Amino acid sequence: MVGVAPRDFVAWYAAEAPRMLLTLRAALGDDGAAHDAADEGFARAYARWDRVSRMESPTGWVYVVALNHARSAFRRHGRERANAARYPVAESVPGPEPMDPVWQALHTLAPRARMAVALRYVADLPEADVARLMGVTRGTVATTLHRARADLATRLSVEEEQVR
Amino acid sequence: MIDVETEIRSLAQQRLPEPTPVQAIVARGSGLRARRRAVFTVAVLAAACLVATVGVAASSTPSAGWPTPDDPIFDGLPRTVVVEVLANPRAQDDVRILTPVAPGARNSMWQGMVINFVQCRQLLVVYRTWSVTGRPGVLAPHPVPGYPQEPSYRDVQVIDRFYRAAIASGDKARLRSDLLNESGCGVWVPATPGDAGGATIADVVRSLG
Repeated sequence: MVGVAPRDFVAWYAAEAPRMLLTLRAALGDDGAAHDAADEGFARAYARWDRVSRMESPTGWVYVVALNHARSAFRRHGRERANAARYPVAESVPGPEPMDPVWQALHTLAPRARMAVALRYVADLPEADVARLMGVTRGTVATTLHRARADLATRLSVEEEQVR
Repeated sequence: MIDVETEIRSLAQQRLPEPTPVQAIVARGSGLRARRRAVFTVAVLAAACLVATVGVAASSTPSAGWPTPDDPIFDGLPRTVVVEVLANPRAQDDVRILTPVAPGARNSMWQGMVINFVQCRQLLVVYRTWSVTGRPGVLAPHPVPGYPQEPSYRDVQVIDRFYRAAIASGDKARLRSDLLNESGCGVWVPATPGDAGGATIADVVRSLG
């Protein structure tokens, strides 16, 4: 039997889920995987809401669970390579315009750089939180973002030149 | 030059995707909760059997908590820094969120932070020499662990190259900026070993100008 959701879970979900989904989509480059990871993260949060709701950052906890779930799913299905070959993302993906050059450029980054960019600029998390979520040191996040910004700027500048 | 950060942020503001209806999440969560309870019951029974079988010998099993300074992941690293990092509240805070769901990443992060402490203090020596003599000091090689943990060890090498490039550029301001960066090592590594509440490396760099 399905239980009744505590009211604060529903409100919290409504507030957090859209951005979480967009962030995971940016990080994973796959709409289906993003939905599955977000759903798993939120479902696990609901399953132990008595504990998770008292955490300092329930959303941070869901990010960790969702990203771990996505990594396991990719390993299980051997999809990581297939996904890499499928970039840019499919046109059916909702959210920002899929053919937007910025969004497309984002998906050319290496998975870890993409994840750092998504957590920092799409989820708008502080760099220290990004480091915690990715399980790396703060310095790694700084260098990863530094390089990712340079790569993206170069790629977007080239595209802008080509348009002219 | 295109401001990538602003572009991505504004893109993320435009239109957020529609998440799964909350009812579906609640149903999935309820299923997980039921399965967890069943697993917990089985685990309790299994544990009771195990305790009865193994008895007192079970008490010698190593703890599943955080590593000790003698953990093999710290082989080859300076013990005083290992002890310092394990006791550092901010390091503990960074690792804590990983513990329940990613125990493998935890070891990697501990090892990475120890090397990071050593590396950052060596960078301070380089910067201080640069400030006093007008020429950068020589950056010593970072310590090499006996059992490199990934992904941190790969990161250590990337960071090492990053800082060496800053030094080789001859631009002291670049190294200064890297050490003052909001997520660089300078803002949280204590300048004095063991003084977690005292001046950070960034504080010292600021005072050197």
